Amino acid sequence: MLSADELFKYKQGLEKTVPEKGGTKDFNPDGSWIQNKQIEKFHEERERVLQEPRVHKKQDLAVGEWNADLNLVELRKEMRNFWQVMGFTNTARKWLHPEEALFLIETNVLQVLHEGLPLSMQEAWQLLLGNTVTMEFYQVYTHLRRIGYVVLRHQGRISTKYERQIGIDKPRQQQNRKKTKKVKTRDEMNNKVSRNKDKGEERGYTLDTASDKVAMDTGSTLPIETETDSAGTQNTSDIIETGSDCVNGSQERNEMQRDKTEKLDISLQWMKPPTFSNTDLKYHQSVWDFRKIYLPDFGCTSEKITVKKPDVLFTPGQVDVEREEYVFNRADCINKKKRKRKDMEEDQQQIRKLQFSRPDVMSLDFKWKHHFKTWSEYKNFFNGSWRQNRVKDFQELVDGDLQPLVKPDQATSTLAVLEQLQIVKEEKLLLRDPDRKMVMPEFDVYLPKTSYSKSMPGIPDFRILICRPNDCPPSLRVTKDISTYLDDDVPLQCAVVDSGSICSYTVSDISLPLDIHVG
Amino acid sequence: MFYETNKMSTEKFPVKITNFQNDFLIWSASDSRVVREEFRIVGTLTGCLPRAPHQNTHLGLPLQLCKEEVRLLIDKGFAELVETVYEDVNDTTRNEFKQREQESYERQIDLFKEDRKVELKRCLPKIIEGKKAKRNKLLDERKKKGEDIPDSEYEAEIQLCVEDIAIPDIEKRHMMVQTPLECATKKTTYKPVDWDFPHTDSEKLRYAVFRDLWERGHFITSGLKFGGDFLSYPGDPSRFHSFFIVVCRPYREPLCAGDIVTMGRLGTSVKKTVVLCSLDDAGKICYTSLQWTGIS
Repeated sequence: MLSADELFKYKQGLEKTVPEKGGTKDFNPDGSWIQNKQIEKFHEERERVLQEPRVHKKQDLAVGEWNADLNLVELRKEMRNFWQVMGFTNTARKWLHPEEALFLIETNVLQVLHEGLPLSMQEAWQLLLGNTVTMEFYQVYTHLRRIGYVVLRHQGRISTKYERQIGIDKPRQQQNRKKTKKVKTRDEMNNKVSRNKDKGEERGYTLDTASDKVAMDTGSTLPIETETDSAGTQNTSDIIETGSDCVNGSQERNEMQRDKTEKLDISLQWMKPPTFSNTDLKYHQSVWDFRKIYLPDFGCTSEKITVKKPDVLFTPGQVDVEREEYVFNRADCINKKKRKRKDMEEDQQQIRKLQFSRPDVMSLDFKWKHHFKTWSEYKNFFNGSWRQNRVKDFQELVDGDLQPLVKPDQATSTLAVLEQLQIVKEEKLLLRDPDRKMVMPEFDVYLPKTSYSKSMPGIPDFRILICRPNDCPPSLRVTKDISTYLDDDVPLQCAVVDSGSICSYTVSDISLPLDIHVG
Repeated sequence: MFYETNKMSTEKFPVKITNFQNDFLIWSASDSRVVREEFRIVGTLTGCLPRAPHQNTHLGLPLQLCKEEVRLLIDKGFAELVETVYEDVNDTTRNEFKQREQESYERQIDLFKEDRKVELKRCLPKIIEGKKAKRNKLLDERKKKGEDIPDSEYEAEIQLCVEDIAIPDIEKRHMMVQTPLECATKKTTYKPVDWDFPHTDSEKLRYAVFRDLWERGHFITSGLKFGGDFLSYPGDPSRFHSFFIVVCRPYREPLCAGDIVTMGRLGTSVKKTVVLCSLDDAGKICYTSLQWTGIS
C-alpha cells in the first residue's frame, strides 16, 4: 500500500507504452555478455511494469457493492460508458456480473466495496471468482474484452429461422423486453403520473380499424350507408381538427371529436359492424349476416327440401341463378338404398380390366380374408411378404458365394439403395434424445460496433464454448444439438484453456454434393 | 502495519504461491521475477496490465503457474504454497480505514499546496506582470472618465510574494486513491497448505518429464499452441525460440502411424523437433525424437 507522498507522485498517471513482445530472437544461448545483458534488461523492465500501482482520483472511479447472496455487484455510482455494453437492470437497480466487475476493477474503472471497505485486487479475485465462475471462464472473458469485443453470457435462442424469415423476430424481442420491463421504475414508485403517450405505445398491436371496416363492409347488408357514415364522421372530425385554433391541446380536441361521432351514430349504431377494441383481439366477430345465407335443411320431415336463391354477392361473378327456389327430393340425398349385387359385379369387371401390380390384393378374396385394423398392420403385412416373394424369385443370388451389393429385400427406395453404397454411415443427428443433457456455449460475442445496442443486441457474431486440453472436444452430436436448437448460422468457437494460455478453433458445416437419379 | 510493502521474497524467505481453487497464482512482481530469473519457471501472466489494460500483448499480475511448475518449486524448497485468510470486518476496522483515508487526504492537501507554491514561485514574474497590466487598464478607464492620474501610478511596482497568494484545499473527491494488489484494510494471514500431486499415471509421467527437462537446464512452458504437452527452450523464452515440442505418451500405449505423421509434419512446418517421452518399466525416462525425411 502506498503512502500519501507516493500516491501524490502518480498524479500525472502512468506511461502508456507497452513493452514490446518478441522482436528478433537469438538462436542459441552462447553465454555472451550482450545476451545476458539483454535478458537482464527484459526482466528489469518486466518487473517495473508489473509492480506499477493502480492509482486514480477518487472521483474517477465508479463504485459498486458486492452482494454475496446473489453473487452480483450492485452499481452505486456510474462512470464513463461501460454501461453501454455491460451489466443489466433489475428491480430498478443496476447490476454487474462478477466477471464483468472484476474486469472493470482490473481496467481501473471500478471500485467494489464489501462490508464497507474497498477490495484489493487479490481480495476481489478471491471473492468475485470464488464460487461463481471458473478461472477458464474468466480468462476467456477478459481475453476477448481486452481487445474490445462485447462479451455476454449465453442468452439462449434469440429467434428461429422461420421467425426471421417472416420478420417477426424484432417485434417479438421488443415484446419480450416490454414484458420484462413491467417492473416499476423509481418514478412510478414515487407516484409520478405517466403520460398518455406511453399508454398509446404500449398497446403493441395497432389495428388499422378504418381500413378493416371498409373491407369487411362489402359483406354486410347496408354497405353503402355505413361507408358514408364512417366517411361522414371522418369528415366532421377533420373539420373539428382543422377548424379549431384550440389552445387547450390535443386531449380536449379528442374529446370533442368523440362527442360528435357519438351523437351522429345513435341512429345508425345497430347497423354498424362491430368495431375492434383491444379486448377483442382474441377472436374476430363476423360481419356476415347468416339470416341471408341459405343452407338446405336436411332435418326437416317433408319429402321435399327447398333451397332459396342465394344473394348475388355469394355467387361467383358469371353465375346467374335463375329460379327463386330449388326443390330436391330428400330421398335422393340421404339414406340411399343398398346397391344391388349386379352393380357391384359390374364394378369388379371394370377393376379386373385394369392393370395392377398387385392383382391379388385387389381381389375380393383378399379383402375378405385379411382384416387390417391399422395402417401399420397393412404396411407390415406387405413389407414382409412382398420381399420374401421377391427373394424367392432370386434365390440363387442370395445363396451363392457372390452376393449382390443390394439385395432384393433392401431395395425399398432410392435412399435405401444409396445407403448400401455408403462407406460413411449416416447418423440421424437431428433427432434429439430428450434424456441427453444439452451442452450449451458459455458466451455470446459481438463485434465492437457502434451500432451495438444493449436492449436489442440481436444475433451474436460468434459463440464460445470452453474446453480443457484433457477433455474430448465437443462431439459432432453436441455441435449439431447446439446449432439446431439455436437455429441461426452463428459459428461456434471452442476455446481451449490450459493454465493461462488460450487457443481457439472453430468447426464449420460443409455440405457434400449428393447425386440421386430419381427412380 | 498496513503500509509496509510486504516483501514476499528475499534470499531468506521462499516465494509465496497462493492456492486459489486449484489454480496457483503469484501476486508479487519481485517474486515472479525471481521465479523466472533464478528458478527458470516461466508461468503465464493472466491479469490486465495497470498501465495499458486494453491489450493482450503484455498482461499483468497475477502470474499463473501450472501444476508441474508448482510441484517442482515446492519439492526443491524454493516456494511455499499458501492460502490467504482475511480477518472479519468490524466497526474498528472500518473506523481505522476511514481515519487512514482522512490522514492521507490531509497529507495530500499539504503536498498539493507545496507543489502549487513551487509552481507559483516559478511563475511569479508573469503573475506580477499580469497584475500590473490589469491595474494599468483600470487606470486607463479612470483616465477616460476624466480623472487626472500621474504617470508614476503606471510604473509603481506591485509587491507580491508567494505566501500572499491564497491556495484553496483540494476537495476530497480529487484525492488520489489506490487499488492495491494486497489487502490493506484487513489483516491477512498466509496459511501454508498441503497439496497432493501427481495422482494418475499420466500426471506422474508429465511431472517426471518436466522435472527431468528442468534439471537438464531447459525452460519449459505449455505446449498447447503446438499440440504437444510442453515446449522446451534452451534459454529464457524472451530471447530464444523453443527447440522441442514435448509429447508425453505412456510406455506401452500403441501409437498409430497416422499420429506419427501428424507430429512429424507439424514439427517440420514450425521448425521444431518433436520429442516423444515415456517412463519405461524401470522408471527411467526415454526420449525419442522424430525427424521427417521424404523419399524422392
